[in-house]
Amino acid sequence: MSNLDIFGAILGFALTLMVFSYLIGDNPLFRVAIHIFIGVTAGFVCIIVINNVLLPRMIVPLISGSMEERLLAIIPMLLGWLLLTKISPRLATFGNIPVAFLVGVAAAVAIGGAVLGTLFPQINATIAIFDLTTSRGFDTNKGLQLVNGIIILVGTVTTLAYFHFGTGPQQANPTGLQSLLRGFNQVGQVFIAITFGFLFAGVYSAAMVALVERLSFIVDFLKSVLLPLLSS
Amino acid sequence: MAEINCPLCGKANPDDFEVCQYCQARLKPLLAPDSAEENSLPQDETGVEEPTSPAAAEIPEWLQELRQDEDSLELEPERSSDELAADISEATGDAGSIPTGTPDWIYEVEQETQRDFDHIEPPPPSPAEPGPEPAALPDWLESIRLGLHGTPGLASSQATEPVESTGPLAGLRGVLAADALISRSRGPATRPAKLRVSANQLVHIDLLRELVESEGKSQPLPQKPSISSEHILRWGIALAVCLAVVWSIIFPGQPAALPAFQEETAELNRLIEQLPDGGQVLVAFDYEPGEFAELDAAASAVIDHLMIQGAYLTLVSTTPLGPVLAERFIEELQPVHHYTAGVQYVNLGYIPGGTASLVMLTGNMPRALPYTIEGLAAWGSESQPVLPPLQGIQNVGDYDLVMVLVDDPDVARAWVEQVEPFISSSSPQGSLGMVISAQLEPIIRPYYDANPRQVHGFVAGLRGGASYARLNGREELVRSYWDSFGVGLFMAVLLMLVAGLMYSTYPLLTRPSKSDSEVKG
Repeated sequence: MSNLDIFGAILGFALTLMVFSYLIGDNPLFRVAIHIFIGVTAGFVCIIVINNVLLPRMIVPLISGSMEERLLAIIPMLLGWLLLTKISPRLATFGNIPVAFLVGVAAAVAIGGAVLGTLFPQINATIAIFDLTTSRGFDTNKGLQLVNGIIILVGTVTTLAYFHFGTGPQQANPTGLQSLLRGFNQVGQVFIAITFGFLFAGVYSAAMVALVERLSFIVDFLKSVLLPLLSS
Repeated sequence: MAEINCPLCGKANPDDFEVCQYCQARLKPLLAPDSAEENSLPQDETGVEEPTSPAAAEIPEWLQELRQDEDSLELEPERSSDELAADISEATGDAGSIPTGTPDWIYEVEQETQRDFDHIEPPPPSPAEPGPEPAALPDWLESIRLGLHGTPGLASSQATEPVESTGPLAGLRGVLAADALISRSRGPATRPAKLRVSANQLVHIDLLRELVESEGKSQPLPQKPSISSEHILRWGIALAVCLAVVWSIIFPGQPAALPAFQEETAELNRLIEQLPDGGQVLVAFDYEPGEFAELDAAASAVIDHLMIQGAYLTLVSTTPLGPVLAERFIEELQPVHHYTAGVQYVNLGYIPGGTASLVMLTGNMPRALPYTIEGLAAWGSESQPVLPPLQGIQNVGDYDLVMVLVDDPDVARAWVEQVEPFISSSSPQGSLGMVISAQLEPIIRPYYDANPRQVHGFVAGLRGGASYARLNGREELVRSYWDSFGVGLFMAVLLMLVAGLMYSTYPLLTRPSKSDSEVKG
C-alpha cells in the first residue's frame, strides 16, 4: 500500500466519521465535511467541463480546425458569450437568446420523448394485457394474465380518479357520479399507498447498501491500522 | 380643611391640590375666569367681546394712529341710501350721462332697446279671465302678520341698522358686520398644559409602551433540552442497525442464500449470453458518487459477465462525474479481466447537454463524442486508426447492447424515451438493458412489462445483482455485502414490528381501567 493510499484511507475514514456525526445533530464537523464534498465536486466538474467540452469542442477547432469546423465552433462560442451577459442586469436581455434556445430544445426533446416513448407505449401496453392471444413470461396462464390486466386497469383508473380535484357544495345525499368518484378515490389511495411503500422500501434498500459499504470500509481500515499495532 | 371633588373621578381632594390625587385630573382650571377682567372686555358695535391684549401698552405709536383712523372711519355717522345714491351719481356724473366705464356704443344700444320697450304697452286685462282673488286670511293669521310687518318697533329698528359703506354691498342696510367678526384675530384659547389621564389610561399607556419596545428586542428562543427523547430514539435505532451490520462484518456466520431466479435479471443474462464474439456494448455510467456502493455492487456481476464474453465496451456518461466512476469501476475488475483502455474498452467521457444530448447518440456519434477521456481522437486520425471498440460504429443503433447504470428516474426515463425507439427501429438484435438502483424499480418495471418491451432486461439494486451473480456462479462479487445487507434489513423489519407493536399497545396500556374510572366517577 503506497503512502497515497494510506493518506486516502485516513482521509476517507475521517470524512466518514464526520458525516456520521450528524447522528448527534447538526454540528461543525458535519458541515465541514459537506462543504468539502461540495467544493471538491464543483472543482472537479469545472475541470471536466474545461478538458472534456471547452477545449476539444471549441478551442481546438477554432485554433487548428478546418474552415467548416471554425464556423461551427463560432456559434456555440457566441451563444456562450451571450449567456454570460446574464451577469449584468443592463445587458441581461442579450442572454435571453441562448436561454430561449436551450429551453426550446430541451422542451421539444422532453415532450416528444414523453409522448412517443412513454405515454403511447404505456397506454398500448395497458390495453394489450387483455389480448389473451399473446403470452408473457410470468403469467402464461390466461386467467392470471386477465387478473393481472384487471388489477393494472383498476389501479390506473382509480389512481387517475384520485387526482381529480373538483369542488362543489357538500351534499348530504351525493349523486351517483359523486359516490362513484369517491369510491374510486379511496381505491386509488390504496394503490398510491402501495406504490409509496414500494418506493420507500427501495430507498431504504439503497441506503442500507451504502451503510454496509461505509461500515465495511471502517472495519477494514481499523483492521489494517489496529492489527499491526496490536501485533507489534 | 375644605375639600373639592374631582371633576373626572368624583373623589374628594383637599382644595389646595392642583390635580386629583387619584386620577391626576386637574382640579382647578389653569385660567380661572376673572370677573374684573371679564368686565373690562371692550365690546364692538356687533356686541362681540374683544379680549384686551396684555401687550397693548407695547403697541408702537404708528400702529395706534392707524387704529385711531380706523376707529374714526367706523364711527362715522350712518348715511341713508338716498345720500349714498347721491354720492354715486356725483361720482359717475349726471344721471343722463354715459356711466363711467361703459363704451359709447353699448350705451347707445341700451338706450335704443329701452326706447323700443317703452313703445310697447302692456295688454289690458281680459275681462273673461279674471286674476286669482286674494285668499281670505283668518283673523288670527292676519294679526300675526300685522304683528310682524306692522309693528312700529320693527320699522324703527330697521331704520337704526347700519348701512354698508364699502365693498360690493355698499348702500345696503342691515348687512352683518363680517369685517368685525372675521378680520379681527383672536388669540388661541388657552388650554391646560397638563393632560388629564386616568389610572386606567395610564395602565394602557404602559402596556402600549411595553408592546412597542418589545417589537425591537430579539426574543430568546425557548431553550431546547440538549438530549430529548427524539435524540435517544434516533441513537437507539442507529446503534441497533450499525451494531448488527458491524457484527455481521466482523463475525461472518453461515453465508445467507442469494436470491432466487428473477425473470428480468435472467432476461438480461440471456441478452449478454447471446452477444456475438467481439460484440460491441455501450455502457453508460449515469449515477452520482453517493450511489456508487449500490450500483457497483449491482453492476459488478453484469460487467464481469460482459468481460467474460469478451465484449468491447464503450463508456459514456451524461453526468460530469460519471467518467471517473467508470474508470474506477473498470480498475476494480482489472485484476481479473485485464481490460486495457483503447483496446478492449474506450472511455468517451462526458456527454454535455444532459438528457437532451442523448439525441446526439442517435445521430452522428463521431461528431458528438470525438475524443476519449485521455484526449485521443477516438474515431481515428491520419496517424491513428479507429479504436477497436468503435470500429463500425456510427450511432447508438450499431451497438449490440446498450447497458445503462442509472440511479436517477428522469435519466433512466430519458434513455428509454430517446434512445430505445431508435435502437428498436435500427437493428432487430439491438437491446436496452439497465442496472438500476432499487428505488427505481417501480418506475422501470412498466417499461419492461410493456409489449413490446422498452427495457429488455434489468438488474435492480443489490438483490438483482446478487441474483445475477448466482446465475453466473460468481457469488463472491456480492457476498461481502449480501450477508450484512440481509442482517441490516432484518434489523429494520424488527424495529418496524417493535415500533408498530408499541404504538398499537401503548394507548391500551395507558387507558384508565374500568374500576379506576368508576372510583373516580
